[in-house]
Amino acid sequence: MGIRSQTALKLTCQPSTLSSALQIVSRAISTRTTLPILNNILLETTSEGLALTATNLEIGIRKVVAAEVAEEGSTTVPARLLTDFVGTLPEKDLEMALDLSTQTLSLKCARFDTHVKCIEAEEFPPGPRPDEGDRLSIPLDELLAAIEQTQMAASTDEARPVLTGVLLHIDRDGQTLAATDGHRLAVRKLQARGGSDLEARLIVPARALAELPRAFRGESGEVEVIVSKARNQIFFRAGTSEVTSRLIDGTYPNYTQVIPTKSSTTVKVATSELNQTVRAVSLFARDSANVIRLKTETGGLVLSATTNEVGDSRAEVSADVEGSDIQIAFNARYILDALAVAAEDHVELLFDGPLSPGLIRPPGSDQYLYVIMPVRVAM
Amino acid sequence: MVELGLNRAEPATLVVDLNCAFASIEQQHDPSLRGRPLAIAAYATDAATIVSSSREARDLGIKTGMRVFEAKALYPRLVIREPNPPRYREVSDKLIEILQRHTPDVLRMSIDEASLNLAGTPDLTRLGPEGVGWAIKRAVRAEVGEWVTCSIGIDATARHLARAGIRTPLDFLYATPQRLRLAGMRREVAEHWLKRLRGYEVGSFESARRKSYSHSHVMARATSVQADLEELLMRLSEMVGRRLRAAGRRGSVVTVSVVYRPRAGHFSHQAKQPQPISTGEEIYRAALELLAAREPNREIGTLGVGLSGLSDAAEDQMDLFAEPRAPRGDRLEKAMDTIRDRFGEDAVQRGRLLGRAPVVRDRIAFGNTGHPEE
Repeated sequence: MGIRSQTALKLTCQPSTLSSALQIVSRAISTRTTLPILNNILLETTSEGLALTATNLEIGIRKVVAAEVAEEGSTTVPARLLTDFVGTLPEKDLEMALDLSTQTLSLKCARFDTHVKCIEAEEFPPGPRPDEGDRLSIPLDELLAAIEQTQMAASTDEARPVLTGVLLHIDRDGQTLAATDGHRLAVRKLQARGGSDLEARLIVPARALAELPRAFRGESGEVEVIVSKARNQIFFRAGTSEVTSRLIDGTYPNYTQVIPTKSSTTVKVATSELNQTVRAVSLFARDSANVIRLKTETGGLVLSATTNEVGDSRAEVSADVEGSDIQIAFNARYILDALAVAAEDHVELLFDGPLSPGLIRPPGSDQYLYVIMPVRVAM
Repeated sequence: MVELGLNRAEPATLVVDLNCAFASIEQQHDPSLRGRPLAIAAYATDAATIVSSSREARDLGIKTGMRVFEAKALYPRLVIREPNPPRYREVSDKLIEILQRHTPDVLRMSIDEASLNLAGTPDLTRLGPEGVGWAIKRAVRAEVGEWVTCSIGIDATARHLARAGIRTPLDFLYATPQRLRLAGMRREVAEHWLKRLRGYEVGSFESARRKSYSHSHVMARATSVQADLEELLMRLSEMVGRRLRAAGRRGSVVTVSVVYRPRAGHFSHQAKQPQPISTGEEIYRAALELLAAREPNREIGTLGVGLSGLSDAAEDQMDLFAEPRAPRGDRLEKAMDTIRDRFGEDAVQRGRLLGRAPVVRDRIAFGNTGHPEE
């Protein structure tokens, strides 16, 4: 990563900018690592300032903060200590200088004169470099919105590793993100932006994608996506910020086949009203597998939940209902997850019987599709 | 006198234990067995273990845990019977019903043992704990039968305590937590006891919900023949499934355990299913895959199948990618359950098991209440 010369690193920067960058980069530090060096953050001077890199060998995050570099150099500093310490400093110039012979980093800021024991930069695992591989460019806002709308549907159960990832499906028509835990599925098409010759189905760990909004805060424009030739690493770069991740090996389930293609009932409802109602009623489903029942009635949708020995709750939400009446039950959390990221004022719910998957989407659009499998209950 | 900080309220907890339960229930059922040394053994073979012996047998030194041949060496004319769990469950249910007349706080501790908390009940004031005890004894005699008796009192840990040098109630009262740990108590248990001894009720009357269902079978002759093992596995899987369905539950983790014999050794493998299952067929299919991990040439003496990761059958979150569950399998097993409930376990059989002796029997493990819902 850049030049790792033996010259002593020497620079001046602002504690607040350094502190926020350290906090972001530290997200890649694993709490239980077997390699002590991975508890450290790599500091390197670059032409743009000071680059900070952390990795747990699965995810790597790199940020560059503005700094006046007097002497180029690099070292690695204990992440937790540096982050906590810099976070307490007053907003005065922070001078950093490395004593090469002792690998001690001196930090001078206002009243503070501090020395931190470091480990040589050479010990730090060289991250994969994105110099070669297939490239693709995606507008940053669009990518972040799509991540927000899909990553929560990924599984956290390591028993099915493939489902802990989000599928980045790239073909001639554009790019799609899809995530599922086997009970619900979120599919978001990215605004097409010219064709790409690249065709790939890449499974990116949901944990890695979840870091993107934080890591790219303050950046704008395009995200450059690079996929390593071996198709085992993915690299995201926006401005001077970078996130790398290992890709999950395996075959992603054919998600398109479970998206309902027909429906017998369509319900259009105000997003915020439905969200608030599900939230309230589902309090009475907490101890009964979080099951909430939906029932269409003229002019509305009736939500109800019951837990023996706790109580029950029932509420009506005004809605446009078309088609046949339905009674269906879902895990309330799956509904709330979809409503929390719905971008429009209204959502459309499509059903095709109580035992077929339900679909939530922005009215009349297939840009974002959220499929939920119902819970089989006695009605 | 030293101030011990005693709870001077009248005792409100009773422990009721059926005496020689299985044996005396059999004697109640069949008067010709009364007054004769009788042992209930897991099987009617000499190598089998005795699970209960009648008072008459106990007087001859025949105890639970002995092998049949050992008991017969003591008394050759000993009558041996195999257990009849439905009969015992019926008596157990009756006992619980009798206890519930005095308090709603009844904890079934095993099939022949229960405790009840009388605190705050009208009967405690009206009859006192001893009076309630007598009422229970009278009801058991009248409603279960004159041959079935019960003991009412406290404590079953005297033996363990003696090991730690605690021989009298006062020894127990003055014992330090360290000494109680010598008696095999964990620290929390020891602390609970020290409180109980000072008259404070600790611990809940709610029993923990069962976390797994399993059945295992010790084979008369060890075997490594796949077909024999498959048959046994199928039977065990069906029994697990049957109890699971009776309790209205499903499970997602299937475990197969194997003990090799005569060359000792064992293994246990488990696999999480993509979705919760409850039919014998599904359990069998998962168990069969796990059994493939056995050493093919080694003879197996004991085979067990278990299901854990339990959820209520009602919470049936459907899966997006799984094949739709064939309701046929569920319906078939439900129908089989109904037939067996009415006509007995052997009334209907899978074709493969037809004509085979019912090698695996319904039984009640020690410390187990024998009830599927618990």
